[in-house]
Amino acid sequence: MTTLKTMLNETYKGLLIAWNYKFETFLQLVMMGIVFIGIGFIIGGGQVSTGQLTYTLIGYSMWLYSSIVISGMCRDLLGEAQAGTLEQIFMSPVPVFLILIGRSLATLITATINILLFAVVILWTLKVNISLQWQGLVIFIITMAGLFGFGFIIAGMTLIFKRVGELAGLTANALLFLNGSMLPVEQFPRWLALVAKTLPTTQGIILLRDTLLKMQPLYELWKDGSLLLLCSQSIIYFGGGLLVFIWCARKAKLQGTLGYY
Amino acid sequence: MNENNITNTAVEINSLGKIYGNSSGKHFTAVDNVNLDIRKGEVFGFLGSNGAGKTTTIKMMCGLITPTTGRILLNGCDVALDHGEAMRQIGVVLEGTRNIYWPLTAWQNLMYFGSLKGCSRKISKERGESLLKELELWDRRNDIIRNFSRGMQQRIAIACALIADPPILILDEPTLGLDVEAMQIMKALLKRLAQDYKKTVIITSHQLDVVQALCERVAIMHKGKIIADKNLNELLVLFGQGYYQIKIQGVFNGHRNDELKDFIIKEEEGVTLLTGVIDSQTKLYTLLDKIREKGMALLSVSPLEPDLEEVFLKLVKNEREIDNHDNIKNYA
Repeated sequence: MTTLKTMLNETYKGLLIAWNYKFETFLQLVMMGIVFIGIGFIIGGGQVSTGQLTYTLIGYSMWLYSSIVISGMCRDLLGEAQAGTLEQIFMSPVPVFLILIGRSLATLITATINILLFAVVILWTLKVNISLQWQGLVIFIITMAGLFGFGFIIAGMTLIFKRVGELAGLTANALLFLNGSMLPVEQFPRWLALVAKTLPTTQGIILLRDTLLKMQPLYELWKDGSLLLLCSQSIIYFGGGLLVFIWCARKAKLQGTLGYY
Repeated sequence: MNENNITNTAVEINSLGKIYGNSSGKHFTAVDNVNLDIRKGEVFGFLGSNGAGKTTTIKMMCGLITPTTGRILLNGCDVALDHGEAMRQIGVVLEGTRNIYWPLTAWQNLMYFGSLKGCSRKISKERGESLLKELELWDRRNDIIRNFSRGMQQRIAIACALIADPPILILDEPTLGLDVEAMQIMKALLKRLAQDYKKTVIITSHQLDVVQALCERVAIMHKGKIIADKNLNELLVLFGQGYYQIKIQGVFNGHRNDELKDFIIKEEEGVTLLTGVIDSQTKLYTLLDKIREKGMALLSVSPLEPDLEEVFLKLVKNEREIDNHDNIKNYA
């Protein structure tokens, strides 16, 4: 019970701090919209096609999650190291990886609010139509578990190497082109498609499109093995990510560099 | 838990060591076989020059750095083996950092740290209110910390460290960067914590007057080792004895000689003050004879009240001389 409370406490704090930066968040929303429309123009060869935008919106929204989670994990940890609050968190009686999960929940909530606002504005202004299905929510949650697992790896690396902000940014941007946000992975060269399918969110984007655009039910996705693949990837990323984070935290304590920034 | 729970020891450090290594295979010993017992309710000062190893020791006590050797027990809980319980024993404010969330209010910070330390909301609220009233910050509880003065921010950081009512309070440079007034408030607060709330308080500071005013016992670290660990008064008497001030009528210029080479000489309005160590009666009489020979009138000879700064400098100077001597011997 105490553990759950501590996790939710971390979530609450994350939301309070995010509220303090609402102006910056609003500007980010505007930027997201401009970039999305720009991408729509490029993909549509100078024209905005509603069908194409519907397809791209799902991928782009998932990429926004990737970007927020990957860059945010790194930036938040460095910021906390600088403020000295990171060391305070490590002095909690509750294991730090549980606090990390609580913090991830805050990131997920704030990112969802931002992305929902962005998506609603796009859907309304550009007359893009997506039918929301509960199956999509299941796929989304499983995908997020994998994405946060990947975020834990970045967070762990931040504890040891500190200056991984550029790498996190590079990784997040590379995902825009590699996770099928803009172009279907099937159109990639075979070797690149193989690499892309191992990345977090790639399989999630494929399945989200299958459920939200092609109206495929979950049992069909389970039957063809694609949902199983997503589940396996997410479990590996989430579990592996936590293990990597715990290992990195131990290493940082051994090196005496936990509070460095 | 072990027998320390029922003993009077709050902190027990045994054979503690920390060796850092780098990729080129070079090793640096930051803490070298430190043994220390701090009693419950004691106000303990931890002194040392920069790089002496005190922050590393403190961080090992807090579980933030893993020791190479040795173990640390906080009220009987092993920091390495029973991390959760050990962390419930301490409240910590670390050096040079904020320790609290500046974008949040004082109250939000207290509630957050209360929950982080495992307190229920009800207890956090009760303690938060009492701490803020005690620290005279209750009226500012809903203000964002960023807008507080440095002294107020530091008081909130201490309140957050105390929110779960830990028996041990660890403060790394608590008065660093504070103005005179804020430092006085901080000193009074720390005194109250020790006297009224019977907390074990561990303080590291470069401001030795702060340590002298607050601590009952002091340990001095040098190059990772504890070179002195005594009650403050004992330390002052032991290492501060033999300091004299000699007041002479007239200006002393031109009369310097070997007997006076270690003395501080000040000349003010026709009076000369000689301050330094006189470790034997013979040395005192020899010196007075020299003064008489110069035809200068002796006004007074008085033993000086020792102060911690002098003791500290003396001890560290001694250690450095020993180090230099060893280096020369090794080189030869």
